[in-house]
Amino acid sequence: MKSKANSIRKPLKESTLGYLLILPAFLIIFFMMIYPFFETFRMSFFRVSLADIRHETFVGLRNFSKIFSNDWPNFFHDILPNTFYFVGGSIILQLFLGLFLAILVNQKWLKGREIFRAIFILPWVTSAIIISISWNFMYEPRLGILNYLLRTIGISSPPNWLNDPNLAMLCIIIANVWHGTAFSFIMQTAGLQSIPENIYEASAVDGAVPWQRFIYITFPLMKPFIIINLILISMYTMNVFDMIYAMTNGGPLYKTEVVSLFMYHQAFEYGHMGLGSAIAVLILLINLLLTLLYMKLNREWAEV
Amino acid sequence: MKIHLKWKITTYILLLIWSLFTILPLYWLLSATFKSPNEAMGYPPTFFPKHFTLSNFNTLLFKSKFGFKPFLNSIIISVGAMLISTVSSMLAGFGFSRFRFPFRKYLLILILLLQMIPILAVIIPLYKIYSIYGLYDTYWGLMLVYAMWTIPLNTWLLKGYFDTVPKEIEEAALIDGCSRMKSFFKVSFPIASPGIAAAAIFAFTRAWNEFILALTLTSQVRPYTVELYRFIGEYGQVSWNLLATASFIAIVPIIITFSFLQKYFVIGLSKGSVKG
Repeated sequence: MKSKANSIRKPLKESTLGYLLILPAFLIIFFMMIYPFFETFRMSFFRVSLADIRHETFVGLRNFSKIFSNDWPNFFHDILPNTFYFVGGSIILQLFLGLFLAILVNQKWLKGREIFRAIFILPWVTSAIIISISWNFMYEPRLGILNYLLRTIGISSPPNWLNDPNLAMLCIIIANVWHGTAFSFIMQTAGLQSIPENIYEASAVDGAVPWQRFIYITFPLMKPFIIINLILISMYTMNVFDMIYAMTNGGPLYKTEVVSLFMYHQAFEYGHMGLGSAIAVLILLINLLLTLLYMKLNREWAEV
Repeated sequence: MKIHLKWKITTYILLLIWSLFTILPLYWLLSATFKSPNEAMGYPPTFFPKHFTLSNFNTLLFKSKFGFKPFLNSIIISVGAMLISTVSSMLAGFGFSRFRFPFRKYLLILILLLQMIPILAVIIPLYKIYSIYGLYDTYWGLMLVYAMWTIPLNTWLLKGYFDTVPKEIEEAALIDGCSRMKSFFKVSFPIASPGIAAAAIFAFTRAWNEFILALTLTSQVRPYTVELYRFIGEYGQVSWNLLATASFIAIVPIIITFSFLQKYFVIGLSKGSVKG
């Protein structure tokens, strides 16, 4: 028999111990994420210079209007189209290639599946900075393997790739797809493995041929995976920074200046910390929108 | 049957093409590790090193401005971040799994939502906070921010692991006279060890590969990623052979940890399926 005092003390102790266990994690999260998160919003209403970071002047919404009135790069003429081009090109290619490769690797008769998988996932674990260096070396106009191959097949003046304003973004998209397809590949593999084998067997009995199987069985069952994948990679790609920064740093002629670089350059190159914060708020709002979409779809998907 | 064979061959060819595309950029860079400076920067480029040499390691680590300091910094920072992240996520995961307290569910959802905030969006205030509170350009500064970056996911991962440990086993230990924390270390900890290993490797790799926070929040205590970047910018003429050697050294630990990661992920998945 438990005494009354004991039974009162026990739930108290239970919750205190619970809070104590989660305290270290939450202290770090609070100071490194939650506090800076609110600070970003607050700073976006102030003029703060990198050189004198403690000094702040309230400017209301002026930072936000400055985002759109900046001359060069202009938000509507340069930043927005660049970002759309980069994000759109990357996610379409990554999704398509990821799904395609997942289907190929998922064939039952395939030999060496583990080796293919290990190779395909390799770019995902390589640091962005090494990826940039690798691709810079590939694209190198004089020494690069790409132009060497082009010269051997008879093209005497191959393009300058990353130094060419019209090609730079395409080059970066290719490098980013090289890196990001691994993630889509992993997600789509998980999706394919969730489809029960007996559905295919039943369809084979009914006389379905492979392409029919794909359109009527695989694709509808994979749809939630594809949509979730699409939202997640949109978010990741929106926030890609390292690779572009190390490959072109937004150039040539701002042709690869996407919104994340725009933010960083304004804050740390030109020293406009307040304006940078305002751009960060913009990025956060887009992320929030995508997160809400993700949560809504994820819940519906869980209920199915 | 004939169509079937054709389809098989096409599949293999397509998979091989993508494999080559995946390997080529890395191979092309890393092979320069074993080329002499003249060969690495000469024309025409060579696909295989003509005169295999290891002298680049010596040049890079002891004779160049790069040195071994950036790697040492990266090791200290990544191991520190790994320890902080793993220990605090382990405690938090255990707390969320085994204890019931007010706001438990909301706090769990909160850390899941924090995953969605891009680090880039808080980098400006972080810089300000770091400058004011003396965290700028310190090992601790980078360790803490890298740890924070993996704590949410690791907490969820480890909570999932502790959830699979039947309460009855721990209760049996309690009846046998163990304290609550002792039963954790004696019973739950060993069962969750594959998950803890996966969490540790995740925290290490993320810290090891990170670039932009290190670039922004340090000026002397620089990990190899930032030094690699500066190596391109500072010397005009790029020494591709040395750049390749530094990349080679940086990539080796990742490939080693990655092979562990795969093993533990398989165990993790099989554990997860037992739960359902």
